[in-house]
Amino acid sequence: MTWLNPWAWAGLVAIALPVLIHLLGRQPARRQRFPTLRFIGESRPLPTRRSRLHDLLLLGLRCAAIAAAVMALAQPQIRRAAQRPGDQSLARAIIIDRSASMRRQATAGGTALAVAERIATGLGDSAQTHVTLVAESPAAAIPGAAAWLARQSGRGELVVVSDFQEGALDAATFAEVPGRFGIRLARVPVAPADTLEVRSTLGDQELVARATVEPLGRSSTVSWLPGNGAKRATRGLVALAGSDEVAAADGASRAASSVPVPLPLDTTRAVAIVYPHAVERPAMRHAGVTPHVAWMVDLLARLRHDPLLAGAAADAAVVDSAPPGAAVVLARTRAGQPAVLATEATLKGADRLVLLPLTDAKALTSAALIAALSQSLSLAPPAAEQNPQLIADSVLASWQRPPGPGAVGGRDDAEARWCWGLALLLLGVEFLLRRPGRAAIDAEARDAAG
Amino acid sequence: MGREVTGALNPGVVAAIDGLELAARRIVEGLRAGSNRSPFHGFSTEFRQHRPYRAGDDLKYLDWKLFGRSDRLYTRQFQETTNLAVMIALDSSGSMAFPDIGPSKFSYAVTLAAALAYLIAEQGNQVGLMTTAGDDLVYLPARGGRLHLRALLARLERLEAGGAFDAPRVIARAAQLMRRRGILLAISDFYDAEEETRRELRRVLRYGHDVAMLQLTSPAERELPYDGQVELEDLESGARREADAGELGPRYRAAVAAFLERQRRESIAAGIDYALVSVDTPPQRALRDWLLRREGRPAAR
Repeated sequence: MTWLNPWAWAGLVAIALPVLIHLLGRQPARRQRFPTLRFIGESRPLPTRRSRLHDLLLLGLRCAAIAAAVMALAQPQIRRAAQRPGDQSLARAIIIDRSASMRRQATAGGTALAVAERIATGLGDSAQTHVTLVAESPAAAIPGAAAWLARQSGRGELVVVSDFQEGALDAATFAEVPGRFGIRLARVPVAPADTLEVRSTLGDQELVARATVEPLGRSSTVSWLPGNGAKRATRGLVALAGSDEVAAADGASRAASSVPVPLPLDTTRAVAIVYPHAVERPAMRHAGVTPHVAWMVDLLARLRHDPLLAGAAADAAVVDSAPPGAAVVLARTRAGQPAVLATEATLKGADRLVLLPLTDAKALTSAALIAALSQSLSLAPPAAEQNPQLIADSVLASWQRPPGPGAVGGRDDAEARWCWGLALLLLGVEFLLRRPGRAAIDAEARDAAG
Repeated sequence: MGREVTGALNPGVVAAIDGLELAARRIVEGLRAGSNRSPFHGFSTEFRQHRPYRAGDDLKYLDWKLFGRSDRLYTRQFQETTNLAVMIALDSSGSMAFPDIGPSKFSYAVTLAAALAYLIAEQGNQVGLMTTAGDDLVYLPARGGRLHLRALLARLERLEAGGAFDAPRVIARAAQLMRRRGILLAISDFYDAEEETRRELRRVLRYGHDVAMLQLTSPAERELPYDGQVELEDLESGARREADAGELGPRYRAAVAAFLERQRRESIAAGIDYALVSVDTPPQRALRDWLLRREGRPAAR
C-alpha cells in the first residue's frame, strides 16, 4: 500500500476533537455530600451503564469516520501501476513543420503549411486534449512535445505533420520518445514551384515571361509575352538583335520555350544575348572583360555543360569571327570553331554577362542558347529531381506506433473514493444510532423513576 | 458572672439574649440568684398552680392572661424551685456536618448550646453536656459555676461532627444521669431512629423532666437545589446513590416536609417542646423566638 499524500495523516489529530467533546460533554454525576439518603428514592436512571456504552460506541464511530476521511485524503494506492486499467483519454502533441519546404504548394491546393494546419486541427479535435507546436525544425520540437505528453493523464500520441524532407528527422530523434507514447507521422504531399514573372527586353520590346504551374509530375512551361511596351533597362534576360534579326531572335525564343524549364527563374542575374547584327555588337568586342563575378562563372559552367547548347553548336555555321581577347568560349562547332562567346560588360545600365552567338540568329544555336540559359537560371533543383528528396513512406511507417495504455501519473481515486464512502457510511450509522438512543434512555429513565 | 468572651461563644448571640433577659428581669424583681423565675422564664419549669383569687392576694400574682382568657380571677402560686439542671444533648453525627457552604448544622448547634449554657450558668442554674465524640460518650454533669461553664465551653469548642449518633442511647443515658428534675434539651436533625428517639424522649418526660427538641435543618436538605444528575453521598454511612435531582425534587421536598411535620406533630403530642430551626436563621433571632415562645407556653403539668 502506498500513499500519494502521506502528509494527510497529520489530520488524525482531528480525532482528538470528538474524544474531547466526549470527555468534556459527559456530565458525570456531581458528587454531593448529603446528610441522609432516607428521602432519596430509587430514581437512579437504570440504563447508566448502557448509555455509557452507547456513548462509547458513538465516539468510536466518530473517530472511525474521521480516520476514514483522513485515509481518503492520504490517497491510498493498493494496486500497482502496471495493473491499473488507466485513463483511456487520448492526449496529442502535434508538431507542424514550418520549414521553407512547407511553403510550397500542396497537391490538394494551398500551401503545404495550410494543409498541415488543417490536418493538425483535425487530429487535435479528435483527441481529448491536444497541443499544437509550429516549428522550423520538427526534430527540435519533439522533446518538448514528449515532456508535455508526460504531464497528461491517459494515453499520449506524438504527431508530426510535415513533408518529411530527407534529413529532417531520423530514427534517433524518435528513440528519445518514451515508449508508451504513440507516434503518428502525417505527410503533406507537396508540389514544387509557383508563379513567376520574368521580364526581359528583346530589341526594344519588353517581354514578360509568366509561368503557369502545372501539378507535380508535369513540367512548367515558359511563355514569352509582349510586355507593356515601356522601354526599361531591366535585370533579367536581355536580347539585343539587329533589326533584321528580331524576327529570327523572336522565333528562337519561341522555339526555346518548348523546352521545359522548372521555375522559378533567378531574375536577379543580369544576362544579355547580343546577336551578330546588333548595333552593340562591335562594342562588345572591345569593352568586354572576362567574366569573373561568381555567379557568372557558375552560370557559364552550367552553360558549358548543357547538352542542348553543345549539340546545337556542333552543327552550327559560324558567320562571325571570334575576336581575340577576353571572351570565353561557351560552345564550339564540330570543327572547333567558337560558336558562342561570353564576356562581362556593362550593357543597358547593368553589369551583365553578355553572350555572343557567332551563328545566325535564326540558327538553332540561338534557340538552344536561350533554352540553356533559362534552364541554367532556374532556381529549382535539377529537373531530374523535381520532388525534393523525401523520407520514404516505409521508413516513416517503421517509426510510427500506436499509443500505449494510460499512464500511471494519472490520479486514480478509486481507493480514495472507497475511503470517503466508508467515512460517510460511519457517519450515517452514527447519526442513526444517536437519535433513537437518546429517546430510549429518556424513556427508560422515566420508567425507572416513575 | 462576667461576660467572658470564650471561643465558642458568639457575643452577638449573648447580647441578644441578654437583652431579653434584662427585659425579663424587669418584670420579676428581687428574686435571689438561683431562682428560676427571674429572668429567664424559658428555662424555668414553672411548677405553678392556679387558685381562685382571694381577697387580699397580692395583685402582683394575678394571672392577667388567664383573666383575659377565662374572665375569672386566679392567683398564681409559685412553688419553690430548686436550681434547675439543664442537660444539653448535642448531636455530633456526620449528618450534622451539612451544609458544607455556610454554617453547618453542627456549628450552629454548638453556637446555640454555648449561648444557652452561658445564660443558664449566669442564671445560677446548672448546665451539662451530653454528646459523642466518635464512639465515645462525652458527658459533663450538670453543674453551676464559672469554672464549669468554662470547661463546658472548652469541650464544646473541641467537638467535631462525624460518625453516627446513637440518639436513643445518649438520651437514655442523659436521663439516667439527671438526678434532679431538669430540662433535657436535645439539639439534632433527628434523622435517625425517629421512633426510638421519640420513645426515649417520652421516657424522659415520664421521669418528670422537661423535654425540649430543637430540630435543626437547612434549606439545601429541605429543597434539594441541584441540577440534573447528582451522586449523593451519605455523610454518616458513606453510602452513595445517584439521582436526577431535577426530577426527584418535588417528591423529595414533599417527603422532607412530611417528615418534619410528623416530627412536630408527634413530639407535641407527646408533650415535648418542639421547635424547628433552620441554619439560615441568625442564631440570636432563632433563640429569641424560641425563648419567647417558651415563655408563653402554657404551664407544665
